Amino acid sequence: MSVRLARLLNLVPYLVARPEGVPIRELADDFGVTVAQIRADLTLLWMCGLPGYGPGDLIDIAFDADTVRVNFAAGMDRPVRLAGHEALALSVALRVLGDTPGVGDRGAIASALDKLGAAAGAEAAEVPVRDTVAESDVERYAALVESGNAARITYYSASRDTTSERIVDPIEVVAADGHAYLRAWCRTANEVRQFRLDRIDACTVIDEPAAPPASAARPAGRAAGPGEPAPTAFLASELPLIELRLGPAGKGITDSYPCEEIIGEADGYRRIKMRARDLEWARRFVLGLGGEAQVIAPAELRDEVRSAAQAALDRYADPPPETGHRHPAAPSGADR
Amino acid sequence: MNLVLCLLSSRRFQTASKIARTVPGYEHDPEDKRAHEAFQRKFERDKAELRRIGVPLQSGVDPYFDTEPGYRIARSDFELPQIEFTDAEAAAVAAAARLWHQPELQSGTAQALRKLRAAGIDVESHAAAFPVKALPGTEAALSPLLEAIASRRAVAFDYLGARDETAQRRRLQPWGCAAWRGRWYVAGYDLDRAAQRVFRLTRIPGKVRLVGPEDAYTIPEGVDVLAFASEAEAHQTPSRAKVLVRPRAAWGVRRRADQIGPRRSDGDEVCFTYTDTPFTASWLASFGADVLVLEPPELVKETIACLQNLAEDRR
Repeated sequence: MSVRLARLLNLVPYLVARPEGVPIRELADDFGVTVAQIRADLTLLWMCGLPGYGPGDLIDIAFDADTVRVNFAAGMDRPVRLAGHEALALSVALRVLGDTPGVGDRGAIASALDKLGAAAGAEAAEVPVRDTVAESDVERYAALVESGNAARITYYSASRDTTSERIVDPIEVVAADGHAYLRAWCRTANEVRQFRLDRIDACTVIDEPAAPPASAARPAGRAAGPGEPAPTAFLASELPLIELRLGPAGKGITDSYPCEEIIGEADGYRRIKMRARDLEWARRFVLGLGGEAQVIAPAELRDEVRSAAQAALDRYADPPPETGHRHPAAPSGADR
Repeated sequence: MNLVLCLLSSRRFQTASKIARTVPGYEHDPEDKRAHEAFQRKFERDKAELRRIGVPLQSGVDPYFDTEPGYRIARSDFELPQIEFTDAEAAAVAAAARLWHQPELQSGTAQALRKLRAAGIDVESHAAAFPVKALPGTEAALSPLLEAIASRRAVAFDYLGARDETAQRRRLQPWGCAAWRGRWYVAGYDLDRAAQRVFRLTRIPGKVRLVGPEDAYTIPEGVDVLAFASEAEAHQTPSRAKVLVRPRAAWGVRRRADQIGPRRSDGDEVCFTYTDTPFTASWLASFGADVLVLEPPELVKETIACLQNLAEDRR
């Protein structure tokens, strides 16, 4: 109901602001509802008006040849002020933008914030934002995207623990979760990847236009996991499915990685199913979770994780043989 | 709707009984107890709904005419002021409106844009593709916290501190939120610890519940949540780690190193600085047997603990 009332309160001033009239189809589209709903709304508004409710007191809306215009607004000339939570959601988002390097025109963001502050009713709470990303070279990669050129990058992949060189077609820079990423079509992998800027060891612009496939240029809805590509939809079903049991501290995982299924269990534990790029990726991924995740399936992954951890533990149990020269000052007690 | 128009049309306070007599939809026989109670419930509900949409209802008593309290809407508080955006400002607002993923914050921005559009400002037509797109960090807890701060209500949530094994229930009078280095923080007065505390929103694994009455506390003057957040994080002084890395392995550790060597037959000694021990330990554990942590002892202990967790058969 409150959605409809909010819409009704917007409808009259919307029409007042457009005295030339608005086609009903356009009106419905602009309010994100069906034409039938808009007709029902207009009919209801017809019965609203000033106390007395005589012919001259009611809101008068005229339809002619499918165009809607308002003749008498009964004092509803302007929309309602922004409610506190509305102004806040918008102004916090503007602050995030304003503090992210490379995003738009800072002056415009600051003045838009001031104007919104004036448009809000009650005094909006202050939500300060500082240092949205750790990387300092965001502007450089934003310029690369703007230049429209392809680039050769040397990239360290944390999930593979290797550094490799590849040619990429930049699409955009995305700032998420404290880091900035270059989203680009990777010609080596033949898919869209996200490269965390602080893991790009070298970047050379090449004299060739960036030409990501049309399907890839679509902006990402949500950042994929740190440094990892979002599996393209048509491929996703072919990637190995892994099932994990996450402890209460594993919350960030379901936020950062697309999960196919999340089932809550007692005491904040959750069972999730997600697609892994391959089992080698999955092994490093689970090992990096510090025991916060337990592998349920596949059994092969569970065994690999366990034996990798055991092999590492064995090294702590048997200190390495002292073959090389040790620096005399180097304490060796920590080996044990 | 008629209620809004009725209250807007008069500068005088309108009493509930007068509203019931004049506004369609509220008609009833005030002598009929049940009908009158139904009216009162409906009237209360409608008032709450109007406040939620942003309609400022004033209540008061008109001393010349009435004895019971009445309501009115002051036009100057009700109407969206005249507002104009330059193209660049409109583009910024449009981009900001697309930032959120969390449903409450999303609908807040969507409602705000609809009001602007009703005033003839279509920011979306100015939407420009920015070369950099910002996505704020985990935000599920943000919306209830902002709501609590706005109404000065206390909150309760489970919190997994850096040193906690399991999440602890915390009760807080929140003062403010801030984002720092890509993370959201809330600061306030911790009711159980009876002290001022700052919390990282990513460490709230469950829901934030609003508890207790509105206006339960006042927010101290000049609270600087950013300063609290950076101070809390700065308590972690950097430490030096020394690890032994197998030949031609663990490139991630080598990349981070500020000192590699001396070289031993079983690998290279690598040193780097770090602040967050649990985080660094689980990162080092991810390299498996390619990395042996040598120093400091607490990092060795924590890494072994991670590996033991991973090696354990918990079926």
